[in-house]
Amino acid sequence: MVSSRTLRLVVLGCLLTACEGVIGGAPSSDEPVVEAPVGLGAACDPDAAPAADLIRVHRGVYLEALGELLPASAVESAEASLRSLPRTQSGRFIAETEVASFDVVNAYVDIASTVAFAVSEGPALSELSVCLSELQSPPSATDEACLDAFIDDFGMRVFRRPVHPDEHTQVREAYDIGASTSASEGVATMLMALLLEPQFLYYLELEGEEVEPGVAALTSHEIAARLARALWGSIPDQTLLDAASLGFDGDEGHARLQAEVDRMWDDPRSVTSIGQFYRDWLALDTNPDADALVRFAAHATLEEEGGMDALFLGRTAFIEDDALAETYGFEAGTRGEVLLDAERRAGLLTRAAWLRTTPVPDSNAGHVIHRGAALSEVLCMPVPPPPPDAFPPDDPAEPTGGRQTIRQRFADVTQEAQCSSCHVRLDNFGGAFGHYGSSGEWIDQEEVEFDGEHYAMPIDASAVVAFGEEESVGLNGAVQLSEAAARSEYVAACVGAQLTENFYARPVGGGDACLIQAARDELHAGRASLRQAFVALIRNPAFSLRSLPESP
Amino acid sequence: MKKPRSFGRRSFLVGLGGSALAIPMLSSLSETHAQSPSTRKFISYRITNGHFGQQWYPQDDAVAAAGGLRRLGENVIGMRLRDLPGDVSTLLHAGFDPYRDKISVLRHLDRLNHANHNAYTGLLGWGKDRYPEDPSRMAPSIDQIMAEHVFMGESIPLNLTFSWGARRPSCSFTIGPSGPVAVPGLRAEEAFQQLFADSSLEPSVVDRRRGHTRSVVDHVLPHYQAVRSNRRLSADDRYKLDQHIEHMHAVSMRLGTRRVACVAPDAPAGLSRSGETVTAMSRELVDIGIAALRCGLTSIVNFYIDPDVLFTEEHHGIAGGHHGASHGASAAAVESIKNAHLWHMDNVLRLISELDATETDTGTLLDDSALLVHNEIGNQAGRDNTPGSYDLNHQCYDAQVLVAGSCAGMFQQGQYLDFRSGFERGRWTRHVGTAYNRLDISMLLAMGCQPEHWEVDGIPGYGDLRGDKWNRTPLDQVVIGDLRAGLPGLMA
Repeated sequence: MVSSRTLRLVVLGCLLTACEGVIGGAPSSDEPVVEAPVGLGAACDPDAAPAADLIRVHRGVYLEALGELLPASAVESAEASLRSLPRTQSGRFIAETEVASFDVVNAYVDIASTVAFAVSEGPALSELSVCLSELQSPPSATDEACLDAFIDDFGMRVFRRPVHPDEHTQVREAYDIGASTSASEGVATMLMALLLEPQFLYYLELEGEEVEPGVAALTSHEIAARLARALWGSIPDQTLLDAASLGFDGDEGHARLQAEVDRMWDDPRSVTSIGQFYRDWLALDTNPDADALVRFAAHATLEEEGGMDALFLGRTAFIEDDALAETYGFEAGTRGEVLLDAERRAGLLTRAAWLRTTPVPDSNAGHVIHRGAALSEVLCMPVPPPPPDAFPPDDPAEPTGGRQTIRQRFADVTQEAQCSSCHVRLDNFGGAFGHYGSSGEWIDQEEVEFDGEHYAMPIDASAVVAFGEEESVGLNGAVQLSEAAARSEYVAACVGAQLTENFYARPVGGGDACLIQAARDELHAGRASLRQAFVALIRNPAFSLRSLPESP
Repeated sequence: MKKPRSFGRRSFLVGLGGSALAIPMLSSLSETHAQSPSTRKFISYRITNGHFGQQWYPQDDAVAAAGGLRRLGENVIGMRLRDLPGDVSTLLHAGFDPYRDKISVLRHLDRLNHANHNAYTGLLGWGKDRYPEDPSRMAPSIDQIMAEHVFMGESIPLNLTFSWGARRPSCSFTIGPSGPVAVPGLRAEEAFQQLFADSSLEPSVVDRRRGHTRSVVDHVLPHYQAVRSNRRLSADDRYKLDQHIEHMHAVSMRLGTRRVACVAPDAPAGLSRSGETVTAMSRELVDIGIAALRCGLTSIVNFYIDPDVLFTEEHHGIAGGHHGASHGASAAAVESIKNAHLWHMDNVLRLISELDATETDTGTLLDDSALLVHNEIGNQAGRDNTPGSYDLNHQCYDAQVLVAGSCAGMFQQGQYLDFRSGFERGRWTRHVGTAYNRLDISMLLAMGCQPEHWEVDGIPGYGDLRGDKWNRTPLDQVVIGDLRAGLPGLMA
């Protein structure tokens, strides 16, 4: 499951910088910056409000929103353009904070134009609004009423909040652009404008009351938009908007918010969104076995309503093809829900998708160092990029004989201090997965072909691991490592940080420490489910606040 | 937020073929004239997995029979292709004979990042993983630089791809805040849909819709300005909106560009992907690219035609796919690579012949163009084509390069140009060559770019010029030369 991002971090590298210390601590001068969730190491300051960087609607949310707003036939007409909307970085949920590139903006215009004209010229228009399909040019008083109602109602869906009077006027003016030709083209230009407005393409959280200097409260509609993004990967539906219009303040408002969260969590749309969370967290975007892992994780999260134990120790799997069946040691033809071998599999870290690595030449082994780096990143302990001048002349992954496993080969060339500071962690994290081949299949011994000879070597999967600054734990194999992770407070905080990062669609920072702590406290030691951790995030006072820039 | 290094006003200008040229605003079928700032065209055709010099270059005995290579300038020797007896080479067969005066074969151009696929250079790879120290120091791919500085946003690169799966690879990339961002390519059906699907509409309707769309973009633009002035936005937030606004301006300008008359290509047949259809599918891509150029829908087309696994054993004599064969040194593997290259050369020849068959005010479309045929891996034929040696690895020395078209007189054509310095290198190739980066610079200069368009912080050179790393050519083993000048012998 090694992503290109992970490969960038590791591959063969030795590290000049220390891999010890507090994650998120300030690097010393000249040290590469390690992008760990800084909130993980920060203390909760109840007076600190989370930041609120301007976030653009993510590609997935954008596509879902179009599907929610417009007739399917119109959206399908723009299929080619929709496909061309660039996929932004999927790992670690940070894509929405990026500056929109030209191709993104260009695609927005292309898509808006295509779907708007498609809606306006066919039966899709009456599907969208009967009265819009009957507009005359010039518009009658009835037509004007139709336009006004449409702008307010449809505009509220698009803007995720009520349309302000000046905005109403602007949208109405956009109608006039096309209406100079015909009423239907007026509808097209009006729809196009709505889909190009910043209120649609960006999350503009700018309207809440400044509750204290430098801190603003979110409006209920801004909260609703965040919920829809995080739980559905989409925009609020009318029910959520209606609830937001009634408000989320006070006891009644809180109860209303809780009811909406429950409704949304139970809605089928949450499956896709939760699945995407795991894809992003584990960087599975191009992994062929990703669906099976995501199916397990969504099952653990939504159906079992599990917590850390379910995630890191669960053995339920869903098999849809022979290759995966074989990887897990089942007969060809095995399909559906199965229970994996308790001696060999425990939770998501022992799933084929996560275990998949680049093949090791002439060997049945998986790339333990790649796995170590991947695990470091997934568990919020990323290693810095290796200095390029520290690479050995030959790739230690390639066998040099029949007497050393891949783990031993790497250990030999990374003994120097500049290498070992990080490779110790990579070796222990990755070495625990020594019994899995490059596709995640179980291997009893490591086999190597070298100079025409076949060699078989015992696998040492023992490791000493430490999560964050927690005490080191001696263990043997990935199952025991998963058990240790499930018990770790640091790992619980890491999962909490991932939830928070996913929720905000941006990297977490120091201002998010209270939220992360709230999630961690729920998750640690199997106390609560991920659902409860999510609810804890929403209930935390910091959730409904945002900090304001100091010097605008 | 880390901001990208500046590359002019529209530093993120990228191409997305289809959407950039988008319908439904397409007015390509209307009888108007292009108003592009340049009539020059840039086309790139990418080949993968290296080449064998014995198959690609003229044979030594043929060169000797024609009088040998003569000195044409510093570190360049060469001869006229028309003087070579017989075929230019195994791959540049008799089919290329009518175009010998319009193509040049370049030799001994060495990639500085020599040890892997798609390593960062002009158009051969976005290579973020291979430039980890400071990705923001990278420049965009050369087509992007041309799009921004030569065509001023009015002509966006059309990236046509032959791959499938979730990825839409192309060779074009731009530079985002955290490094290179690959521009997704378009498959034939997608490109046709975006470029030509509205060819059934009346041209006046197409023009009107295009105008309406532009008016809406202009209508919405002030709303971004209004949001930008909100005091609750940080400087970084305002920067994001500034970029968005800038790109909307560029889109508006594009929508205001008129198009020339042309004929739409046949719609892709929707073939399923198999060894049997691979040739027809590649032709669809080539035809769409040519039509887009003829129609003035773009002045830049990149072909990423990489069927790899569809080079099947039964139809193309290649077992294990192109990449697999490229790692074998058996006679069968060598023959397979030849077949793969001959297949690519059919596409290249079709490109050349179709471009040359299209008349323009100044000659033919080929004359107006710089067509760059290139390979993301170098010569795999041992030490400079040692007889019988097929040293298959990932080294990127002695790159496979063909340049067709004079780019409106900017290139001298009809040549076999060898850029070796004459020094022994010692490891993979016998001769020290010239930095491949100079070829990128030649393309940029020919298209009308100036050094300030591609240089980062005013440092001469395009791309990776570091050397002395485990996977890079030591800089004392390559000729760098004037990094603000094109290749001698190639430039007119």
